[in-house]
Amino acid sequence: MSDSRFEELVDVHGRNVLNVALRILGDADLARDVYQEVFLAIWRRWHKYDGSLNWGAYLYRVTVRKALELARARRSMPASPDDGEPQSTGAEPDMGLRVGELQQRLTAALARLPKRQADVFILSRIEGLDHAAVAEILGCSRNSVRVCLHRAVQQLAREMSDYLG
Amino acid sequence: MIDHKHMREQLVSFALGELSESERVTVSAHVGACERCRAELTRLEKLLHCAGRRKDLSADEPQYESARAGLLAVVGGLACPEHPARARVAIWRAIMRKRPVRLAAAAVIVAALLISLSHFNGTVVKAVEFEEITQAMQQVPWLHARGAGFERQIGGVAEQWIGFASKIHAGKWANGKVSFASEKDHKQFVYDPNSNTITVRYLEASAIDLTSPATLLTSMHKLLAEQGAQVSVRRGSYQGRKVQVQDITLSNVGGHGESQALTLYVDPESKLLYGAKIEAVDAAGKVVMAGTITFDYPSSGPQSIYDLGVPRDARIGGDGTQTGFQTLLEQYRRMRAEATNEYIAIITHAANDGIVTRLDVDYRSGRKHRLERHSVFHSGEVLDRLWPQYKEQLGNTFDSLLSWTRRHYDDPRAGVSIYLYDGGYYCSTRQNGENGWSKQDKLYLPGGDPAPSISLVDVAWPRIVSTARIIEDDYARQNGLICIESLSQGHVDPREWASLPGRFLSYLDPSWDYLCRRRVTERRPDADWQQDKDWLAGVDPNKVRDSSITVDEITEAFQAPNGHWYPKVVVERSGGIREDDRHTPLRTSTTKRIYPNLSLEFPEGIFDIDKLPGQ
Repeated sequence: MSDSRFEELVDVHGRNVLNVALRILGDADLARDVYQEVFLAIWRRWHKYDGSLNWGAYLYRVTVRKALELARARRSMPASPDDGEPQSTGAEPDMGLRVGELQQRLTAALARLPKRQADVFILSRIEGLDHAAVAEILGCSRNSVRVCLHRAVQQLAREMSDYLG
Repeated sequence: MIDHKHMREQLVSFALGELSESERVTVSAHVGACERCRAELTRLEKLLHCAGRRKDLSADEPQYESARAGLLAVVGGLACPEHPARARVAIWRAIMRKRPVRLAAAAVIVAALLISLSHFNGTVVKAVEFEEITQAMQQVPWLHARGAGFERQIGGVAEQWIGFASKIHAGKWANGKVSFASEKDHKQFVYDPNSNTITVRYLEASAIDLTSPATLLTSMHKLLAEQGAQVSVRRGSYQGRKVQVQDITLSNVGGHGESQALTLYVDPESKLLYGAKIEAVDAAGKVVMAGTITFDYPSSGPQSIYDLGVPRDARIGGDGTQTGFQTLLEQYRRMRAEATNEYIAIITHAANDGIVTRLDVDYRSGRKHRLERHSVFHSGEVLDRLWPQYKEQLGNTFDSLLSWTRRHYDDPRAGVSIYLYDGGYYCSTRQNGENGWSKQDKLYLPGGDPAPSISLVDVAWPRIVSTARIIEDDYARQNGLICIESLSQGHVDPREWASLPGRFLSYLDPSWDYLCRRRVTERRPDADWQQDKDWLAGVDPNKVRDSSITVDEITEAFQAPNGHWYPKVVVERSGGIREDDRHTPLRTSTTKRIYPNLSLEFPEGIFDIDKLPGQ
């Protein structure tokens, strides 16, 4: 395939790749890193792709994977309630814990989830895709999506219980 | 007796909205009576709400454009040593993008032959045939060429017209762009369908080198002759006419088992080239490149860009009568290059409460570039509580910040990413918590530095597209600045979110080395520059974002001993735009402080990829 086809690929899917990364990481610069890594990785193997690939689904998978890798790399300490000072003594559970920090906790907790559960949670609850679309992207059954989503929600709620009140 | 294990499952289903009405009633009744399950459901709902808030996040147009431009600049120059074929793409791009005027004449022929040249790594023995073709090509008034295929190189169809006597070169490209250049009028017009804009550029005298086909064909011949391809000449037919067929083949190219074939169809009488076919097959027999070019020689050709189908209502950008905008752009780029050729700069990023959350150390020496990105806080730390302690540790000078980063670099809890470009190879690695440094991602990138944005260059001299234009406005007039405007069209992305039309203003200060003193990004759904007025028809109103305005302003700058100006403080403020066209008060969102040092010696090995961790 040609470099103009590559450019076309970037134009068609690039915004989505950047936005998916941004929604997972919550940081525009890190999202840009992921965007660049995703497309450079494709470019390096460009001659190996054939025309039958479903780029939309493929890019969702690769972007989520790369963004989670980055989130894991940045997770220098486990975000358990013991390691930091997450809570003030305020009566309201999340007083003193800013919204941005709650989001940061979510990213850290996602990075600790089993890969498939993290993929399903992101595609389903952050990207807003239905079970059928998630199943198609991940190449699994809808039931598997449902089961993974349940496990992911339970696990995340457990991990973040001290921050969710 | 309630089974709480089962109920926990039910609570998840409840929060996810998966239950039937009767099941919901049952769960609600239980939750009303059971404090433990009520607390659990609250947690689940908060979690899902927290995740749901992210759905609205999306990059704005400058962020996207910057990311896209950075990526394509890298890919444009990418020649991966493991895959030499990529270098040929770079040759094509060099023709298409970087030297369109100089190589305007016979670009299609040259492109085709250059591709074959690079693909063949040289070789053609029958010099005389090429000489004759070359001579004949310069006797015709107009040449029209149409390339198709080239699935890996060109992608689709490109069409070119060359008027030898009228000194006109015109082209329609696979990406929809249209170009028209007249050497006599010293003008070059480029139409971009995405912005519906025609950019007019001043064309230097003798910029169109109509002898270039001959020059390039001859040099191609020489290179090919050094190799040793098999060449055979035979009679054949091409599109119903009798032609001389030249078959040029090369086998086992580069020892990889790839074979390549170039076929030229030449009129035996006029010696004019009527067609060319190029094909490359890898060791497994798979066609890795294939394309054809047909040539014809009309008596006339396009006399204006509108003859090539460009709409009459296309907006004219650039500068049709003088060299103003292009000259300014050149000046701007030169100043940027001179001021940022060698430095170490530290950039701190503070939120609106003044808390510094990130710190970038930016080293540059010519083409070499290293960016270290340090997260000031560890994951999960409460920022405002720890800030007084961190503030003291960081200090507020170049030296104190630099020494903090050096200590931080070795802290296993630190979040540090490094992006290093040594002028040829690009490498990135990240500190990976308890696992040490991540494995390096290494690429050979002779075309340029792909390090992420927010270096000194990006902060002070942002990218300005060549389709922009100079406009007059009050702010520029009152402050002695030059305002450059570019526009983007709104569109609906694959997730059916509307990305609003954008207007981007860059105010350059000619008295401060053309520093971009102020950048304004404005987005609104009802923009009058949006070509398709019905672009939001059928779009869910919940997926259309509010209008917004962002202003980045250099509020302090200083002149260094080297004579150049540098930014000191950049403040980003943002707000919304109301229906009456006035914007709401801007609120500060981020403040960047820049601490440049232009005389410090670089630490030894700072640009040495072999000394990066994560080998």
